[in-house]
Amino acid sequence: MWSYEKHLQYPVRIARTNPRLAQAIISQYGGPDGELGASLRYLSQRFSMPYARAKAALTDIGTEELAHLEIVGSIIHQLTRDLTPQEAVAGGFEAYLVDHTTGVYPQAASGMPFSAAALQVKGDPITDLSEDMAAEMKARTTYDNILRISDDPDVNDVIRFLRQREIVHYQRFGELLRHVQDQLDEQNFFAINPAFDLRAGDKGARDR
Amino acid sequence: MCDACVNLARSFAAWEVRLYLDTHPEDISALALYRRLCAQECGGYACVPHERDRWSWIDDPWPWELEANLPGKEA
Repeated sequence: MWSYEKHLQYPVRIARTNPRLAQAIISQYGGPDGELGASLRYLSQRFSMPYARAKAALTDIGTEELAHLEIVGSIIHQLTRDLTPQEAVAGGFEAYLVDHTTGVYPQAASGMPFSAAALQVKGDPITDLSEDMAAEMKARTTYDNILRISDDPDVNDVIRFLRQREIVHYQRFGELLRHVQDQLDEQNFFAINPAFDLRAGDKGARDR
Repeated sequence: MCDACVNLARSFAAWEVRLYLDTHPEDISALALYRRLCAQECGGYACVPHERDRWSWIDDPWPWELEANLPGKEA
């Protein structure tokens, strides 16, 4: 289960509001490669993982992504603080304002609502860990794109932290993938799904 | 740095070591680092109980598995 720590993993202090930037950054809240999708993907994949360290890492990384979701929501909140209708229109924000005022709604920058179609839980450890490595790189690229269009140092400081975390997670998932491959001998590799085709006592079904 | 900042930095350091331990549960020096970071109260959100000499956080059963929910396992 989860408990809540009443602080952000990394502080968010944004001096200048900027609804136009908020509209772009919201993709990391509810977009296809954002933190909500990442947390849901990892926290769901762990149920069908046969390997203890994968269950632990998916639980911990999935939990950290929820903390990042909170950070991104905080950024959106601060970028649209005390927004006037005139500022909203000047920032091209009126379409969002009409439907959500300055609430934080899980959607992509395009306006598409969050969808689980952007993530997969395939129930096969090698497949799922490969998906996870791709997910971390997609998130990193999205943060790269945000840095390309943002000139706000307060925002960019937080974005760089979140970007760096994606790279670290990518490293951890790579280690898990290698570990799973080590558990399967050459005859089994790619020919079976250890989460489905092996039983508890079988070779390769558990960590050696 | 202010006290709150030091605590956040230390909590984060402990968290980073915890993620590393998840994929390197046999790394004794990493475990020692984690214990040092968590020894002070401000180890914070990253710190979970574990056996003295191994990273037992990863151990089965996990909460969604039947074995974890049988009578007598509630503790």
